[in-house]
Amino acid sequence: MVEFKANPRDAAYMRALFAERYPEGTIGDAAAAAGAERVVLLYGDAIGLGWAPVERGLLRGGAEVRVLNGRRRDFALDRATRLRLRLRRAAERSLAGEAVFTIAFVAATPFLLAFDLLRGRR
Amino acid sequence: MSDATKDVQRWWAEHPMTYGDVHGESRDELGSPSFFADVDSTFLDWNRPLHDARPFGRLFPYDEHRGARVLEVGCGMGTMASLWAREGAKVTAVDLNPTAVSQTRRRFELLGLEGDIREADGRELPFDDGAFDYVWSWGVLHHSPDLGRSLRELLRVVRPGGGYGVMVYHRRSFLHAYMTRYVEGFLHLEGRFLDDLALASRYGDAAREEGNPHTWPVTKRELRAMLEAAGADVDVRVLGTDLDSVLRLMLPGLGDLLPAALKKPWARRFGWSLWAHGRRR
Repeated sequence: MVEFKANPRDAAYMRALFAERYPEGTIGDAAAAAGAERVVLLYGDAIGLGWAPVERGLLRGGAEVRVLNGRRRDFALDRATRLRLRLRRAAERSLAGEAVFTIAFVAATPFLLAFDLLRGRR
Repeated sequence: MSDATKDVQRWWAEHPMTYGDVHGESRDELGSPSFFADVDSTFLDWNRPLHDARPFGRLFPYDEHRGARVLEVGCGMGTMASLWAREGAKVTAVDLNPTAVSQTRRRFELLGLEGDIREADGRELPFDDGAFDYVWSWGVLHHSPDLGRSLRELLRVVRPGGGYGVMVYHRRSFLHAYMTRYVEGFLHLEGRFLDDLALASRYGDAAREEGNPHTWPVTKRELRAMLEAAGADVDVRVLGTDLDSVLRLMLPGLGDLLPAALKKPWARRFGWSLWAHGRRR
């Protein structure tokens, strides 16, 4: 379910997108990025589910980190953005929003049913 | 034709509504009998609550239009146009997308049905005022860059006193609130990069791909106002045939666990489709 909604693009798609946006860049794994001054992370999904350890390592090393994601968005990975990503990753994995909705759905249904019955709608 | 309309035309020609997992993809060869059978099976199954003894019999006044001139604006793969032709109406169907026109012509040919199928822009229909007894459009006009003008044009070609039916996407729906605004707009940060129209266009249709050039769902009030201004009597209702699939996307099993009676009050308020119908004054 989480994977379906994340709708990640595959590696070939992300490589092509990177080549289009950063024609001067080279592609490597996390180890190759260690010590680089400027790094672009290629999230196949929108918010980088599973990328937190890589981000921590790179930011500790003082690199300037940007993100290019599978929704074709390009943004700097600054402190505020990392906070936003952490919150959203937690919400996406835990289905917290869906749980809140389900409670509201169940709580409101009797009132909607009663309202409809009073108006003659079955 | 404006650049925006050309973009819409080009996109739909390259990604026709094939009812596969992705627009433009199909298990069967386009134009083959098995392709049309598959399209019909999927499309009719999605809309099962709207059928009686006949497909869409709870919405369409087939009986009073036997032998009458009817027009579909945006015929897609021709399922509905062929239903009307089988019911004995004199069918004309138009679509902006040349692939849809050729596929609908092919379908009519395979089924031995008669119909006038043409490429045309819904904002500039090539017909005289009042040329038709009934005109309908299903799931199309929210892709028009000027919905108000498209609705005025649709009503122009209905004879005074003639009927019409229009289905467009509903902005105050679960699907829009959950998948577009919450999942993509908030969780996936897309709301930081896209305005409301761009967000709806990217995720309202073809969300698994790259979206499409223009999708703008409307509210009941907006749809009613546009149709009344165009000279029609209007009744608008929400069609909630999508509710189960949205609940399934939210939490696995949720849609199946809840009895239909508990889902109905939500479906009739927050379904993804608005059905406006009535008569031209």
